[in-house]
Amino acid sequence: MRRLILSCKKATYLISLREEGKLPPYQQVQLRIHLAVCSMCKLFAKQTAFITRRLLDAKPPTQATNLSEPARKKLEAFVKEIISGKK
Amino acid sequence: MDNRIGLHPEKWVSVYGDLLYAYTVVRVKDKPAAEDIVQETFLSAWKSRAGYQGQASEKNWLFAICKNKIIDFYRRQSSGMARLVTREEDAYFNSADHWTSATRPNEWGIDYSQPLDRPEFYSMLHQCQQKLNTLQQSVFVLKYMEELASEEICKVLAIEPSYYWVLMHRAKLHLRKCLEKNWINR
Repeated sequence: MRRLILSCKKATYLISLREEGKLPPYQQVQLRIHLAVCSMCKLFAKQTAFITRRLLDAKPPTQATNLSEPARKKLEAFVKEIISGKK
Repeated sequence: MDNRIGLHPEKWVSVYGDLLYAYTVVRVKDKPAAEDIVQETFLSAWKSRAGYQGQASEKNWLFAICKNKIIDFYRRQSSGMARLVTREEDAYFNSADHWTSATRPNEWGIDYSQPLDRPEFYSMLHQCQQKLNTLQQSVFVLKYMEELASEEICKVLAIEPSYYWVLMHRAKLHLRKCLEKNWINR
């Protein structure tokens, strides 16, 4: 019975494996039991899933993600050179 | 001559430069690296222009090349890097491997099923992501932004699956904590 009890460290580790379907059946049961009684790990699972989903949200336009002027000029010159066969 | 399926290299920088750069800069550590990747993308595209048959739009074709360049970047970066033996995840747990009162997750009071309407969250997310160490950031970006399977990521980074899961565990612990500390409790 003691072996059914997971630590929080192990449980938070296994959450990523579960997400990719890499968790063996026995550990699935262990994790399910742990999350049923541990509100902190449950919250960890919820919040990390939230974070990973947000990574592909459209980025707000306020972020400075355009090429800087020098970088753009350098790129323009580079592409011009390769097109003209100098590179 | 059908221009719809043609390539227009002379317009690549003006039309796609910012798009490719914006895509890349959130996936790699710094701006110079992102600039290099965009440049390599154009060079590769130019060299393989004869193979372009117009099945994909010019834009999608360039993005596919750019994605490969980003993966190459992670591959190169990982190959020169020591695999550190640390136990940094231990900082989050006590001697019985349970959360400590200082590190336990706290309720954020948001709807976890919805995207957020707060730009400052996204810029903090990006900042926290940049604070991860290189390999942690690599597995995290390749998994959640490039959407590769863990097997592919292990191949790209030349790491064992067990190490992949350790890195992923650490990345999530750090990122969650960083966001809670700097965004929720600011």
